[in-house]
Amino acid sequence: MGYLEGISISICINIVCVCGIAILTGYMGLFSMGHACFLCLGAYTSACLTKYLGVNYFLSLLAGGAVAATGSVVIGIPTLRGKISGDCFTIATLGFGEAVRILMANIGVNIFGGATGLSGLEHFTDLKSSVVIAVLAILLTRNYAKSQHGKIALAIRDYADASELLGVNIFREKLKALMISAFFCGVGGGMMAHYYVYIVPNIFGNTMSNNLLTSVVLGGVASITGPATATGMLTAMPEAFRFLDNWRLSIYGLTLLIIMRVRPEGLFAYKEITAPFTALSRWIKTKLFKPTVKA
Amino acid sequence: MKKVLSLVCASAMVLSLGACSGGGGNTASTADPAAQANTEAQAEAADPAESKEGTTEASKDDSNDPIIIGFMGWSSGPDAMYGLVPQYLHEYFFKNVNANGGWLGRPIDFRTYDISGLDGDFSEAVNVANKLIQAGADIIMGPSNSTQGKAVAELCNNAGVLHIPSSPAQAVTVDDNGAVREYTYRSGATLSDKMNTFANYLYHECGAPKIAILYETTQVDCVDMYQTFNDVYTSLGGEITGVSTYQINDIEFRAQITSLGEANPDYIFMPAMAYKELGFAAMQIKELGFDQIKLLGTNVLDNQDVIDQAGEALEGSMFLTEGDVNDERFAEIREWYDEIYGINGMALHIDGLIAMNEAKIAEYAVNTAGSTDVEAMKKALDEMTDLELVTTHIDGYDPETHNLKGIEFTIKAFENGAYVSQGTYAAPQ
Amino acid sequence: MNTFLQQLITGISIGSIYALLAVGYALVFSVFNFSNFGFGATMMFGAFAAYYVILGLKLPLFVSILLGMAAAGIVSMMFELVIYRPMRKKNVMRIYLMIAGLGINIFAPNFMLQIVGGAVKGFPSDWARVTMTVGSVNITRSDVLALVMSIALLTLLWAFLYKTRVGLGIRASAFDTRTAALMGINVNVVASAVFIFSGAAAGVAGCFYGMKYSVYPAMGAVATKGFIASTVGGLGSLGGAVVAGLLLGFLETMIASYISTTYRDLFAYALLVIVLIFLPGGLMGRQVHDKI
Repeated sequence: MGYLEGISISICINIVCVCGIAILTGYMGLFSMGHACFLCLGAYTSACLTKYLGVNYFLSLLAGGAVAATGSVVIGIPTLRGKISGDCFTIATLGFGEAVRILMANIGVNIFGGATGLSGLEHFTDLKSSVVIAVLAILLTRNYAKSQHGKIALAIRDYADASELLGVNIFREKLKALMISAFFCGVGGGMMAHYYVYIVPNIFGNTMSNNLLTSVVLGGVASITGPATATGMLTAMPEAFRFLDNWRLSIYGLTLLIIMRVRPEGLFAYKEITAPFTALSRWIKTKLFKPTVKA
Repeated sequence: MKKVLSLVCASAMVLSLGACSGGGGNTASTADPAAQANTEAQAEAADPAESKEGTTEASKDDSNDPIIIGFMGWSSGPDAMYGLVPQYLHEYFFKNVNANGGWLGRPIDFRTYDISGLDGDFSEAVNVANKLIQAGADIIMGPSNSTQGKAVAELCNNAGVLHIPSSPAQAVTVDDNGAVREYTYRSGATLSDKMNTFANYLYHECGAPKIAILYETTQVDCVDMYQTFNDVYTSLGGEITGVSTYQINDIEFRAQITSLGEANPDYIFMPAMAYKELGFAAMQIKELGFDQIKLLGTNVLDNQDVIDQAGEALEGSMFLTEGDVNDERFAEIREWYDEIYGINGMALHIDGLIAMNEAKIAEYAVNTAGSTDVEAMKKALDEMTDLELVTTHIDGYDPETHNLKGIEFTIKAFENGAYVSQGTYAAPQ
Repeated sequence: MNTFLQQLITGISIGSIYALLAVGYALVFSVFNFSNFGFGATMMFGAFAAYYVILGLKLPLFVSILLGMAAAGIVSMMFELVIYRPMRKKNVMRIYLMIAGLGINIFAPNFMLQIVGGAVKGFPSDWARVTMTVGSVNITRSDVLALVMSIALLTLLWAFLYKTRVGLGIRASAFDTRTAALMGINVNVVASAVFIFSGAAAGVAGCFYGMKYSVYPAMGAVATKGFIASTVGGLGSLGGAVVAGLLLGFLETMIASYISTTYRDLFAYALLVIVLIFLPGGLMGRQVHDKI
C-alpha cells in the first residue's frame, strides 16, 4: 500500500469520527475527553465479527457503531440528566475511556487477545470505500445539524433554561447527540481495525481522545465540514513536520497554540464548506439524470 | 471569505500531503533520485517471474546507488531515550561505514524516523513503514517496542522487505498461527528466553526465594514477561506470594507494595519496560520501611540514570540482561558515545546496544549475500552459523522462530552504588 | 490495622499533591470560569527551576522551593499575558481557552525534552527522603512537609483573598467580572495576581512531586488529577478543591489496596461521578454551572 494512500485512509477514518464529535461538542457543547473508548468498542466488535464469524465488512462497521452507541448510554444516562453539570459528563468520559482500554486488555483474553491485541485481520479498508464512508458521514451529520435537531442543540448549548421552558427535552437531545457521536466513532474504529489489521487496547488512549477533541474545536463550533478539514490537516501535519526531526511535537503544539490565539473561534465556526458538495451533487445529477433529461 | 478560507485550507492540506512524500529522514534530500531508481530496481528484483540471473543483473545495475536502510525508533516524548540512543549509535556507525567506502562499494543512505505515538499508538510506525517500503528501502531496522514491532513486521512481510527489529516479544517474528514471519529477523533475545533463564537462576542459584510480582496489564511485553516468569518459577517449585498490577504511566506503587509486602516476600519482581517505574518502586519500597524486600527488574535497570534517580534504594536489586553495559566489550563504543552523551544527557543503555545489533546483522546480510537482493540476504541470514554482534556472540537463527541461538545472559546485582556483573548464566535445558 | 494506617498515610500523601494542584485550578476557575489546562506545564517548569537552582546555585532546599514557586508564577503569568488574555479579549467560549491549554501541554514537555533530555532526574535533596517511623507506620519528611505547606499556603491564600485590597478585587471579579470592572477594579491586575498565585501553587506542587518522585519533562501529566479534584470539589471553591484532592488520593489508594489495582481508575471515577450526581455543584460548590 502506498504511503499517501495510507495517510489518506487515516484522514478519512478521522473524518468519520470527528463528524460525530462535531455534533456532540460543536453543537451540543458537551466535552468528551474519552471518545477513543468508542473507537475501541467499535474496532473490537467489528474485528471480532469479521475475524471469527466472517461477517461482511460494512455490516461489521455498522455493528461496531451500534455497540459503541449502546456503550455510550452507560455514561449518558447517569450524567446527562437534569441539573448535573457538563463537568460531570467530562469526568465520566475521562474515566470511561480509561476503563474500556483496561477492560479490553484484561477480559476475554482468548477472544480479544488481551494486551497482545487482535491480529490477523483482513485488510478491508481501502481508499475508495473510506472516502465514500467519510463523505457519507459528512452528509449525514450535516443533515442532522441542518435539521431541527441541530437548531435545538444550539439552543440547548447557548440557552439551556430557555429551551427547556419551550418544551425541549434536554436529556433526550443530549443523549441523542452522544449516541450519534459514539456511533460514528464506532464505525471509525472498525475502519481503523481493518486498516491496521492489528489492534491493541493501548492505541485507544487519552492522546487519541484529545486529538479528536482538538480537531473539532480547531475546525470551529457549529460546523461539520470545518472539523472534518481540521482533522485532515492535523493528521497530515505531524507528517509534514517530520523534517523537523525531534522538534516536531513541540512545533505541532506551538502551531496549535498560534491558531487558537489568532482564530480562537476555530477555523470555520458557523460555516460549512459547501462548494465540493454542490459540485458533487451537480456531477451526480448530470451523470445519473442526463439520459432521462434527453429522453 | 468562506471561499478564501476553504481555498487556504485545501491548499494547506495539499501542501502538507506533498511534504509528507517529499520530506524524509536525515539524508533523504540528497538521495531522492537515487531512491527512485532503487525503487525501480527493487520492483524488478521482486518480480517473481524474474530468474535468479535477472535479479543479480538488477542489483548490478544499481551498484553505485546507495543502500537504503531505514531505522524507526521511539525518539520523542518521555521515553525518547529508547529511540534516540540507538539512533545516535546507528548514525555514528553508518557515518563510519560511509567514510570507509560503504558496503559492496555502495554508500549507505541511512534514514531515521521517529515513530513515538503516545499511549502505545502505532499509527506512526505504520506510516513510516509504508513510506520506507515505498521509497524502496533495502532493510528496515527497529522498532524496539513489541506492539509497533508486530505492526511493522506484518507490513514488511507483505511487501517482502528485510526487517530487523529489536522488539523482544515472540509475536513479532511468529504470527498468530505459529508460522515464522519470513522476512523478520530479531536482533536480541526473546522475553521468554530471558524470563526462563531468570526464573531458573533465581530458583537454582539464589535459594528459591519467595517472590511477589507487580506488572502492567496493557503492554504486550510486560504481560509476556509476567506470564513466562510466573509459569516457569511455579513449575520449578518456587513460591509466588502475590501478584498485583499497575497501569501504564503510573509512578505511585505504595498501595500495591504495602499489600504485597504483607506476605513477606524476599523480592518484588517488576517486569517493566521503562526504568523510571523501577526507580520509583525501589524508592517506595525503601520509604515504606520494607528493608528486607529487594527489587527484581529487567535490563532497563542497566542505566546510570536510574542509579542517579533512585540511588541506594536499589541496594540488593537484581536483573538479567543480554550484556553488561560496563563490560570491556563496549569500552570503545562508550568512549565515542560519551561525546554525544555530554550534549543530550542520555546515558548509553543495553537496549540501545541491542538495537545496534541490527546494523551488525544488516552488515552481515548485505556483505555475505554480495547484493541487496532480499532473497539473497535472507539466505545469508538463514545459513549464518556464527556472528559476533555488538552485545553477544550468536550461533545463527532458529529457522522455526527466527530467534537468535546461543545467547548468553548476564546477571547483574546492585552492590555499593553500582550494578556489578554476577557472571553469565544459561538456563538448564 | 497497621497496613490500613500505612495505606491511609499513603493516600493522604498522594492526595496532598492533588489538593495543591486542585487549588491552582480552582483559583483560576473562580475568576475566569475556565480550567487552565496549561497547569501541568507550569508545574513542570517550577520543578525544573527548583532542581536547577539546587544543582547550579547550591541554595538550600526551602529557598529553592520559593524560587521554584516564583518561576512557576512567572511562567503562569506569561501564559496569561501571551495566550489567555488576548483570547479572552475576543470574548471567546471558554472551551477554546481549554484547547489552547492542551496546546501548551503538547508544546511544553516536548520543548523541555529537547532542552534537558528525557532522563528522570532525582531531586537533589536527601532531606525530604528521610523516613520517620511513628509506631509501625512510615512517613517521609516530604509527606509531612507537603501537608504542612499545603495548609500554610491555603491560610496565606485565604488571608490574601480576604484581608487585602487585591484579594477583595479578586473576590469581586470572581462574583461578576464585568460589574467589578465597572466598579473601577483593574481586572488585568486581578488576572495577573490570580495567575501568579495559581502558578505558585503549581510550582510548589511540582517541587513536592519532584521530591517525592522525580523531575522529568512529562511530569505535568498528573495535573489531570488536579482538574478532576477541583471539579468534584466544587466550582472555584478552594476548600472543596483541597477536600476533593485528599479524597481522590485516599480513594485511589484504598481501591488499589482493597478492591482491585487493575480497575482502580474505574472505581475511583465511578465514585466521583456518583458524588457529582448527588451533589451537582461539587462538594462545596455554590451554584451549578459548567466548568469547561
